[in-house]
Amino acid sequence: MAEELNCGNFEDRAILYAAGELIGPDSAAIEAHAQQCANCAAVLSREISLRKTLGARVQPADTLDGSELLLARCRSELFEALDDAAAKPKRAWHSVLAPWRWVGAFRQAFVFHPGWSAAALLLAGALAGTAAHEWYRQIVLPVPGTPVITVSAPAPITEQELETIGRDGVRVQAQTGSPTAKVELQVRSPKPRVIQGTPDDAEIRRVLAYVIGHGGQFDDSVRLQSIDALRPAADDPQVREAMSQALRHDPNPAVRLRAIEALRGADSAPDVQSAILGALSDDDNSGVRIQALNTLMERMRSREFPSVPLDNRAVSILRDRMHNDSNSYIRSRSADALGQLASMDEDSAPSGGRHP
Amino acid sequence: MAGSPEVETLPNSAATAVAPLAVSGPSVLSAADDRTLIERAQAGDRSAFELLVQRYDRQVLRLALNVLGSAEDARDVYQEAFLKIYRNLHRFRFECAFYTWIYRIVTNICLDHMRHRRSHPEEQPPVFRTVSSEDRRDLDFFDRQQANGTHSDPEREVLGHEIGQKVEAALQALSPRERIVFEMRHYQGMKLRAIGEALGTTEETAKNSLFRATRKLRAQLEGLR
Repeated sequence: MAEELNCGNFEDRAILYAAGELIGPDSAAIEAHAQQCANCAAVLSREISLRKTLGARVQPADTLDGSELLLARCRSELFEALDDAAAKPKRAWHSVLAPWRWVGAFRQAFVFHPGWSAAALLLAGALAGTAAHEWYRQIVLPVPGTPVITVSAPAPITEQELETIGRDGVRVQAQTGSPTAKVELQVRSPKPRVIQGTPDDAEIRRVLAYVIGHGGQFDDSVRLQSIDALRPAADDPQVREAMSQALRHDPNPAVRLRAIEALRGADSAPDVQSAILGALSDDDNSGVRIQALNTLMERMRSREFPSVPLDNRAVSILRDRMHNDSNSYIRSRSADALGQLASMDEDSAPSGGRHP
Repeated sequence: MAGSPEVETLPNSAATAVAPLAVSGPSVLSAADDRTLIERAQAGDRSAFELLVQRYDRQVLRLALNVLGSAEDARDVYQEAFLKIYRNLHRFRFECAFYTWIYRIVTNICLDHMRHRRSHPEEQPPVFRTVSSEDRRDLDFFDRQQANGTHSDPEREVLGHEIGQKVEAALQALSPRERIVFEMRHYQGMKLRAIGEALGTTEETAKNSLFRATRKLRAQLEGLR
């Protein structure tokens, strides 16, 4: 022992002494110190007592294999395993690539871990699903660059083709520095083809208008992008009609709101005005109603408003909103709008009133 | 010698060490005999390898049974250890005693099992119980003979039965490494230097593990003595 024995390090030495680790002079030194120091003697006695207690333990090996049957069984199994190993031919290095080896390894790894197995199955399913989807897209809906029919002057798209354009069959991509978006259509039937163009093309406009008017068939984001793409063409009756249709029937309030915004420049048209009034009257989303009311009031403030008067239906709806709308802002703004109309009536009294 | 906890390791120099785990009475063989067997086994002699196995496997199985407390787990450790030894025997260069090399492999596998069990408590084997007189009625003939031999001292039997469960619980509370060190020192009779070598560490580290284990056990078993 390098360190001199004292009361400070006696406990560690006592542990070693009780464990039978000390021999010769080291052991004698412990005994001598214990004879001189009562505290250390107690420590030594405690360690020896602990050692005896632990020595009284019935060891599991005595109980589990007292007759050594287990040992005999282990030997037998080991020698059998060695026989098997010797009987197997040596495998070439490339055999690790054989599928059956991987299957075996996976089986061994997962058979006792159901949680891992479930996670691995889910992962495999997800990967397979993704791969199958990508494969299907490549085979059935080829992307540009693959051997497909790509037409710069698209042939007319039939109604049937429009109905079969899938959720992922329309891509609208805004172009930096240009108000015109780039549109890519993937048409499935009867012959898969990809059509690219801009909303300036009549066919593209027709498809985008179709997208806007069919909320259930396309994703929200595609409908919103289509509205944005068609905004410059809001004067087109076909586009107006589609946007009015979206304003009336689209299930997503964000799409309806975007449709009102897009229709601002075309709100003199009777069908658009009707759609905006309908939104103010019936839309269950207060944001859409507010936007409809604001659009209506902007229209009233515009220069050409006197030449495009509001009809009785509009006045009736404004009155109804003023009294019954759940939103205080709409009630207040509806009252403002009616007051504005009244003052316009007074100004134009010599030429006859518009509202009874 | 079989099943005895009194086996003491002799000082182990690679050149002169006496095989400390030889268990077959008159067949205690020196390290030189081991060397011959090892060299023959390395050259592909199956029977030489089987002799080596039979020389060391009793203590290997005993260590696994004691630290894992499960016959199934101990069997797995036995198989895994000796297959690993068989596959890697060509790498043994006589730089340490053969039993140290074996124990290095066995303790690593045992530690893996213990750590796995700690991290997967749901896979715990049935808790090892000390054998009472009532239990012994259910033992088969061979086990009864062994049990009678081991517990012929009634006082020791009573003491062992009363405190056995608490000692087992206290041992279970040790970390895997502390448990292995304690087992090898107290129940396998190995010296701390040999334990350090088997664990791939130093004697000082093994000693510190023994200190920690002893203090933990003392705290757990305070009221028993």
